[in-house]
Amino acid sequence: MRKALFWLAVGLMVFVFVFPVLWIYVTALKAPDDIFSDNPFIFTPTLENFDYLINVRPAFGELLNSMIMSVCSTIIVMLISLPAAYSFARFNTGNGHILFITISTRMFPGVVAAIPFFLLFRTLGLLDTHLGLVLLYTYFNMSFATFLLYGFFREIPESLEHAAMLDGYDRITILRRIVFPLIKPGVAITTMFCLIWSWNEFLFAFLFTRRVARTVSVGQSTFWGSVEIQWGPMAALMCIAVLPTLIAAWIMQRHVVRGLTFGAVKG
Amino acid sequence: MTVLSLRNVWKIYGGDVVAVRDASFQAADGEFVALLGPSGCGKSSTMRMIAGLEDISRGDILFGEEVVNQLSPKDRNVALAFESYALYSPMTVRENLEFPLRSRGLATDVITAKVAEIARTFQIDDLLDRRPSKLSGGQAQRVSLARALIRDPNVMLLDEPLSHLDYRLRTELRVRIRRIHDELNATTIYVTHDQEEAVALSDRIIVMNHAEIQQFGEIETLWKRPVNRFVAGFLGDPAMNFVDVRLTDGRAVAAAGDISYDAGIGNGQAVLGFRPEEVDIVAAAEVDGGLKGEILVNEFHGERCVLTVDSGSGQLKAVDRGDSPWRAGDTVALVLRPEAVHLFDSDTGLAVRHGTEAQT
Amino acid sequence: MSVLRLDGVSKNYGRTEALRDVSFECEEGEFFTLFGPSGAGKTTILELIAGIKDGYSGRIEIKGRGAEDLAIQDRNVSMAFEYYALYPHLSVGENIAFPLRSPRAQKLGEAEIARKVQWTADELGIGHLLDRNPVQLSGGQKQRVSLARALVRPADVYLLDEPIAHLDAKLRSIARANLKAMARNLGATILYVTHDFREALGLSDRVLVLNEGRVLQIAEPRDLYHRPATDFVGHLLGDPAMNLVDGVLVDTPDGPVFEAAGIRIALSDALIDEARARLARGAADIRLGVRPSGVAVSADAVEGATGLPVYTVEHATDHALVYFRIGEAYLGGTAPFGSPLSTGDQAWLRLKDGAGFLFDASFALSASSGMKEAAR
Repeated sequence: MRKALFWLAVGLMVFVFVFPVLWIYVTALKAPDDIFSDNPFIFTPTLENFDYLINVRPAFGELLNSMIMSVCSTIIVMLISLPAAYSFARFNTGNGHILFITISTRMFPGVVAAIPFFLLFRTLGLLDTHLGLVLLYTYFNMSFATFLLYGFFREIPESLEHAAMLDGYDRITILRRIVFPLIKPGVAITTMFCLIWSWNEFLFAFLFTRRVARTVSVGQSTFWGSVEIQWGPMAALMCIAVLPTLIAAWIMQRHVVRGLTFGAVKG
Repeated sequence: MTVLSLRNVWKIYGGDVVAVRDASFQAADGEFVALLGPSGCGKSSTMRMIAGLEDISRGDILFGEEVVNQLSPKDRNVALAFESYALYSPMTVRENLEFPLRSRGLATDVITAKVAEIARTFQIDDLLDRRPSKLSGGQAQRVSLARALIRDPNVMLLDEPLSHLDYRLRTELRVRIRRIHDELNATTIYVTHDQEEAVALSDRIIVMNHAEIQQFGEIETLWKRPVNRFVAGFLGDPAMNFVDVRLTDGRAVAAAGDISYDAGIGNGQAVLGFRPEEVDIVAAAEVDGGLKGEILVNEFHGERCVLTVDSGSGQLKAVDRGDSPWRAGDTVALVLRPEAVHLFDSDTGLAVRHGTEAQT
Repeated sequence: MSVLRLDGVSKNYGRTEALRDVSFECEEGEFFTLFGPSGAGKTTILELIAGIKDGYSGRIEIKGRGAEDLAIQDRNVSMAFEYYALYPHLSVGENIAFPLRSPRAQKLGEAEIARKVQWTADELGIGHLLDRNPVQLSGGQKQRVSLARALVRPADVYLLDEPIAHLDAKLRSIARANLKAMARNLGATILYVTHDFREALGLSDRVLVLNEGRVLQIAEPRDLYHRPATDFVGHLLGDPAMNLVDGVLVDTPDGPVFEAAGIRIALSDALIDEARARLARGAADIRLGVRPSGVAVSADAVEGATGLPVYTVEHATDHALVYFRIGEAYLGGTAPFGSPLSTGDQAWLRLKDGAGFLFDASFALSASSGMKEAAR
């Protein structure tokens, strides 16, 4: 009896969270007439919405743009944040002040930064360019990634590095052989967060891109026309757009569950 | 004042994990009994059943003539002191001590008098207005003990109360615990994994291992007549030496040498045990018999020296006087005294013989 | 030439003084122990020598070279950390092999590395664990892995920080002997940190006693035990601990005696001359130190003995320990095994010949504790 109640509760929770996603997938497979029919789950599935995205109003470029923006910005972020976080964690660089300033970029709403950036980018000719958005995403993700990685590095006891140093290893080798293997789960988690954030980002993509560098999140908004809302194609694009995020979340979950075990060090 | 009895008590977790198997013993009124064993041997489960913190799977626990199986911990009137201090941190020491009395609705002046009395016993008078966070480890442990004992318990249950403390402080608190027991004269069960502590404090010791009581007796009995290898090896530091021997015609032959020993059980394989304190150490060249080997290390410990001898029968320990002349590398013979050796069955580990007498 | 030399080394953490004017030398092949209560600064000394910590004054020399000129990697010291510092992503075997694969280590073939790892692990009783992951090990096992990793390679000095403190009592007694034998076989110079007096006395060639960052005494174990320089040193060595009782020396027609809380105790012959000299100087205040083994207790009145009620009795397997109260202090003595004495009985105690020390009090015996919790 208690077991049954437990699974009922679990089922309810899962339904609440999964329902919106399910709804989108169902809608994507419906012809326009079925979308507003009285019984949402009885209809003849069709792929015409996906056909529309390929042949009538191609969305391929927008997906590619999103891909470029998130991957490029994430790579740059990790290249900068990893050494920065290590330095903050190990050498207490800047006595915590620099770390604080870095994090503070996340303490105001993004919109506040939009106007200065817009003016700056117009002057530099970066509006509606890939480079422009990559730089913006790097700016916003870097502080977050640094802070996250800082925590992961702090979890690695300094004595591990001391032990290796006493055995005659130089710092680069120690980073490669000791620190990096231990920080790997942390790097994976941070990378995923950055990718997901950039992929989903809407506000700056909407303000800073028009046609050339338009991302998929902005692309979705184009179905919301002044005359009519194209629910079917919009749902179909959403189906595709959430896929990378879902996959990322799934991979990340495995890392989170595996966790960082440093039991070899204490206790 | 209470006689505490366990009759065929079992503790079974989850249907098949036996934590305590068929434990029976009786602690006399006012007796100090140690429950000694390695971690996971069932000693804490036994204690928790006596306290009423855990159900008894099978069997009966009696305080005097009364079966207390169904009584809640409160109604058993047992005092319990844990390994961790478990003091109420928002209260002062005085309030901590008053707490168990207030819950019984005693008059204020009685409470005040009792607190003053117990505080004197534990020498915490000058700490009464402090908060637990301002106490050192030893002080906190004394307050914790005082709180456990303040309400004249039927039975005192102490679960490794000293194991978190530095050994010097442990030695000191040990003295106090025994003294308080002598003053209150409460039947006491003291759970510990430290054989030295058990020996120092108790009138009798229960040795547990693998959920079963191995032996229950006075120190001298456990020391001189251990029922099996486990009890023999658990008491004593350094531990008893065990050597595989072949018994032939009044001699016990080991790889490291042989001794004259009439086992009285015919010939065959057996395990010979002897305590490091009960051997004579002589230069190997001077005697024929004995277990011969090379001294690996001679450790000076102040009052005595502990020798580790590398022999054909493995590493053997021997205790010598504080001014031991032996050095690493010397070849010595450990000459055993027939009256101080123990013989164990090779397969079962049960004691066969102690000195010149058979195990009964 | 000494392998290791410290000369007037002091170290502060902010305003806290961690070390004050520490000087000592270790000879080649010596087993040298830093002994003291926790917080004494023992680990700090190791860390300064290893180069993990810096910012000290004074001089540290390793094989005649000033340590400040040497990078950590060039000091050729090996260290076992109290909290293991095992690499969690490497197997036990790989952990132990790690120092052998270092770019500064002598190049060895894989077979040679495997052989050394196996030998070292076997000596410490962890040979069967080589394929395990460190997280699967118990505290005692991890500690031995850490020790094996430190001892597997040749080094000028081995710095061992409480390397067997987390083993249970039985294992510790075995590990102690094996460690000592191994150190001798390797001919290693060892700087050993411990708070356990048995390890300090049993393993060392010489012991340095440290408290609150200061050196109290440097001596061989037997000298240390029989001639402690201060009451604190005496108090740290021995189990049961040395009795310390504050009192005064009183001159009587029969010679000087010790008096505390109105109780008089006759001094052993060994102390008489010193007591006279102290009285002659007018230094009557004294702290009597005597180990329980130096106090004989009997149930019958004995000539020259002091009669007192028994506070409580403890047992051991070959004797009984009888405790008395003298004012706030406890005084423990030994009686034969099976002594009938128990709490409240009258008993007689006297100092055995040659037993006892007269100290100037160097630290406060806490009033509420009787003994000193500062000496953790």
